[in-house]
Amino acid sequence: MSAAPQVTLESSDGEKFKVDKEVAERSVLIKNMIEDVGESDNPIPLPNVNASVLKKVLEYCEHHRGDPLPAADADPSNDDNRKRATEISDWDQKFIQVDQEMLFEIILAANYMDIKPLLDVGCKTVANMIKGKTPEEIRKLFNIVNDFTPEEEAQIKKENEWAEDR
Amino acid sequence: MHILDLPVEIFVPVLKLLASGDLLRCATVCSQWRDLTLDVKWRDHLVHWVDLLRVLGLVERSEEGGRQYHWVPEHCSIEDAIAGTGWRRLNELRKKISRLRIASRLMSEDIDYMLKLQHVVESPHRAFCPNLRELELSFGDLQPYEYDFLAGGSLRQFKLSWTSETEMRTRLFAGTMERVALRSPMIEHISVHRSDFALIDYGKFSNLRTLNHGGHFSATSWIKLCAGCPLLEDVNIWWIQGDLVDEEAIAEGPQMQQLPLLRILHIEIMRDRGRVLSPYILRTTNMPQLRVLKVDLRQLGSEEADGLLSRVRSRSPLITTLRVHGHTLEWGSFAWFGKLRQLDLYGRLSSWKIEDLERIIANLPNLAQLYIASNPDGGIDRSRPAFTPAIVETIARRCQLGELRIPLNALETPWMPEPPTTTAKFGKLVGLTLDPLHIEAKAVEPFAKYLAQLCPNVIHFEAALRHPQEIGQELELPRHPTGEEIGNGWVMKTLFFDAQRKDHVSG
Repeated sequence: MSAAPQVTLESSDGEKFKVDKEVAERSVLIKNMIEDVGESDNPIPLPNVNASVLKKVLEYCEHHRGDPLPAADADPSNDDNRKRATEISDWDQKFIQVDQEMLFEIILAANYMDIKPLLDVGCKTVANMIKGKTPEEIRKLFNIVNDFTPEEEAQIKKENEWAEDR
Repeated sequence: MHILDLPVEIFVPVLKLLASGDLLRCATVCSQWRDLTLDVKWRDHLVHWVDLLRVLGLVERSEEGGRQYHWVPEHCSIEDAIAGTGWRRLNELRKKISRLRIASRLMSEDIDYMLKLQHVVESPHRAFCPNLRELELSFGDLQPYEYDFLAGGSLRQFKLSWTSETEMRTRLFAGTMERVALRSPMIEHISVHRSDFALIDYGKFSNLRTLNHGGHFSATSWIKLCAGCPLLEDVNIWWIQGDLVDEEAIAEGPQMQQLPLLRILHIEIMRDRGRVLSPYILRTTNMPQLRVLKVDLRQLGSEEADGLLSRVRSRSPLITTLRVHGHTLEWGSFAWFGKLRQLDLYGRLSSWKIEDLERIIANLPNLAQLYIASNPDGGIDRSRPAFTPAIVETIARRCQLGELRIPLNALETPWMPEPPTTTAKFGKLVGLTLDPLHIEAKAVEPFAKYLAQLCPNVIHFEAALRHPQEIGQELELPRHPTGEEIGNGWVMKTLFFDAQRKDHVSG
C-alpha cells in the first residue's frame, strides 16, 4: 500500500517536518527544488525560516492543498483590485490573527518560499491595519518613531495632497 | 521583528493596496515611509495636472464647505516656477508618472503652462512623461493645444473627450492625433468622446485592441481601421451623426476586409443617414471570433436584413449576444444563431408569429435573455399579432429564460385567468419586464396574480401599463396608488409581489 509521497523540510533551527509532497509544493521554491534534485530522502533545508514560523506556514499549505494555483499577477494599481484589497477569506483571517512579530515573519517566509497567496494575505492584513488610521495611530500601532520636524511634515502634506476627482 | 525591517520589495506591494488618502497619511509617519509612499503615489496612482502645478508652486488649494478650490497665487509666474526648485522636483517626478489626467475645470492659464513646459522638455522628440501608460484628457471649449508631447512609447491607454467643433480645431486635433500615433505606437486602448468630425485615422494605431469612439465615423474610417488594426478585439462606435456618408468609399472600397480577433462590435447610430454604416460593415467584414454584436439595420428591408443576417451567421458562428435595431425583420432569422444566450430586438417587428417564436426557442438551447423592445408608436395595433399571455405561456413551457422583456397585449385576458399548469412555470425567470403592457383596468389585479404564479422566482419586475384604446389616457386602477407607489407600473409591481408573497406563504 503506497501512501502519498512525502518530503522532509528542515527549519533554520534544525527541526524536521515530514509533510505530503502536495502540501510542500504550495511553495514554488520547494517545488522547484524537488524538480531540480529529484525526489530524495534528504531533508530540504530552509535556512531562512525557523520552526515556529515554518509550522504556521505549513498549516496554511495544508489547508489550501487542493486550491487551484494562483492566476497570473493581477495589477494592484488597478482600482478594482484595490477595492478588493480588504477581502480575506474567513479561514485565512483566523489563521493570520497572530502578533505583529509573527505576521512579519510569515510574510518574509511566504516571500522566501514563494507562496504567493500567503504573501497576499499577509500584505492585505498589513494594509488593513493601516487603513483609515491617522499617522499618530499608525506610529503607535507599529511602534515607529516620528523623525520629522513639524515644518517637514507640513511641507509633505502641502505638496502631496491629492487633487480630488474633478 | 519590526515593520521597518520588512524589505522594500515586500512593503511596497502593501502600500500599493492603499487608497490615496491612506497613502498620504503614511507619507507623514516617518522619513523612511515618506520616500517609499510618494514613490508609489507618483508611479502608480492617477496623477492630476493640478498635482504637477502644485509641485511647481503654481497652485494653492483651499477648502470651503467641503469643496476644494484651486487658484494661482498672484505673485507666481511659470517663468519663476521653471527657474525655481519646483522645476527640479517636477523634472524628477514626471519620469515616474504612469497615469495622468488633465481635466477641463482648470483655468485657461494651464494651457500656457503646458505649452511652456513643452518647450522645456529637453528635446521636442522626447516625452514629457516618458513612462506614461494612461493619459486622460478632458477639455471643454478651451483653446486647443498639442498634447502629444506628454507621452512616449510606453503609452497604452488614451482617453480623450473634447467638444470643439470649429474646423481649425478639428484640423489641429487630427494633426495631433497623427503625432500621437507616431510617438506612442503601442497604444492598445483608445476612447474618444464626442469628436464631431471624422478625421481621426485609427488605422495608424497598429496595436489597438479596444476602440470606444463617440462622434463622426464613416465607411472610410472603417476601411482604415480594418486595414491598420488587425489586433482589435472590442469596437464600440456611438453617436454617429451621419453627416458624412461617403457613398464613394462604400461603392469602391474593398469587397472584403478582416478583423480576425474582434470579439465585440457595437454600433449605435443617431441619424438616419448614418444607418448605411452597419449594413456596410456587416456586408464587407469577416469577423470569425465575434461574440457580441449590436447593430442597427433599420436601413434595410426585411429580405435584405434576412440575407445579411444569414451571412453574418455563417461568418461569425460564435455569436452569443445579438442586439438588432430594425423595422421589418423576420423573427425566424435569429433562430439559426445556435450559440445565442441573449437576443435583444428593437424597433417595429412586423411579423410576430408564434411559429417563429417557437422556432427560436426550439433552436436556441442556450438562450437566457430575451428582450423585445416596444413598438415605438406606443399604441397597440389590433391588426398585427402581438405577444399575448398565451405566447408567454408557450415561452414558459419551452424555454429556460432567466430574463424576459417584451411588450404584452393582455386585452384578451379573461378577468380571472386560469392558474397556469405547473409545467408552464417560468422556473428560472428572475427578471420580467412588460413594456408596454396593454390591459383593461379591471384585469390588472387578476393578471398580476396570474403572472406571479407563472413566474414564481422573479425578483426584478417592471410593467408599463397602457390603456387599451387611447395613448396617454389614465387607467382606472383597482386601487389608488399609495405612499411610495407612483404611477401605474408601481401598482402592478406591488400587486405582483403581493401575490408572489402570498403564494410563497400558502405554498
